[in-house]
Amino acid sequence: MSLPVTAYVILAGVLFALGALTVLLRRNALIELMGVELMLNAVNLVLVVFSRLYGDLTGQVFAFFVMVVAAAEVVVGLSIVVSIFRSRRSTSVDDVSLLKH
Amino acid sequence: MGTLHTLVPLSLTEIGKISTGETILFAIVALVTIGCGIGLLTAKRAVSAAVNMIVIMICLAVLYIANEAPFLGITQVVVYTGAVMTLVLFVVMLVGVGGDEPVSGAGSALSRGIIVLFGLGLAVLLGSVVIRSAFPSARGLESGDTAAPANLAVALFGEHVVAMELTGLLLIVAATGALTLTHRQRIRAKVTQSSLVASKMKAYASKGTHPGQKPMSGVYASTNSAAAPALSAQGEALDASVPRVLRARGLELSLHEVSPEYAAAQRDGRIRSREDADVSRSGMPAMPGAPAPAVVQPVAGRAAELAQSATDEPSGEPVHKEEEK
Repeated sequence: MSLPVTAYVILAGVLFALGALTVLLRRNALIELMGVELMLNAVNLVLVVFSRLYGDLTGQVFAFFVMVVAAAEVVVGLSIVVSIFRSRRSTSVDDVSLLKH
Repeated sequence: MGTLHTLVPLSLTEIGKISTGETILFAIVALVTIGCGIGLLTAKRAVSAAVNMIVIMICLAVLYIANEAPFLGITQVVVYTGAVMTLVLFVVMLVGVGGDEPVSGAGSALSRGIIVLFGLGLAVLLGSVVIRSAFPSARGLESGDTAAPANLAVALFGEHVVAMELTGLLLIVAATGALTLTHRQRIRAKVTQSSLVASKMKAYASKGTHPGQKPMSGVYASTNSAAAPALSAQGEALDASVPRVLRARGLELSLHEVSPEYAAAQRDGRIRSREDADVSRSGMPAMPGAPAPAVVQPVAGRAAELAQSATDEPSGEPVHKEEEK
């Protein structure tokens, strides 16, 4: 009873699809940000698995960079959500339609 | 497990397969992760979505450690669950938990169906690409030694030092951006203690609002809740003694809820107000009534003598008498 290492990659694919669905289906900006986080984490898992597959540390190093970028993205995204909530009293992305003519 | 074998054909050599123990670990963690992913997709509230996300992060950390990346797994727990998700939870609380919201509030059923089809198609496409691809025979990191922090540091600050510097730049830009985006300019003047006092006195002068503290809430034998009103000297419940928030939410207690006996007595007129209460009077000038109680001092004889003379003359003025003597 054993699986190939690529089973991890398939799990990462499923998680990525779930994250993409979250971004597309949900209307709450906070939950959409979490969907983006899930996609980034799925990519991280792929990087780690391929790092193991090829015996090369570069994949893990890039997973670190992805983490840093995700942290920066969350900080900026959340501050945008907070400032929009302050002026519009809503976190729904459908309500942000000021530029719509 | 057999179905998984048929789903995932062995495209790797014998070395690329994972051990039985790791397979069991993978199966359990993968089930929890996908379950929480579906939970994130269908969560009614942002808080439950965030909790699902935290479980996913921890499960992924377990998978990293299983994939010979122990340092990355620990960093995942520290950075994601420790910092990022805490930040998200803070913002959820700041923005307000809010009521239930539909999984897809806007958009027609057709567009939703297309989106779901897209998601399923993405998963199937990724899976089939992985299954159809030919991977080289897996090598693996040598017994987890190469993923030690020292080796990672050599890779990070040796080959990728420029990317590292750019990451630092990115973090500075992100911090500045967050500060700029959430910065708020003051619309009204800052309320200081002296301006608060001045406005209170102005309200007292114009509208007669009491400038001091409001009375504390009442303490009764049955309850000392802040929702219980205090009693005035006339025996009436004071609305202002209950905190404004409780009053606005309609949570304040009325007098018969707190003390039915007292309320009944008040209704029957058995509560006497201060004016007709039978209290002893001091006998001081401008305070007519019974004489002041005599103070008996057994040691000082003169004090007893004074007290004697005071009882002799009920409406007398003890202070003046002492001066005369």
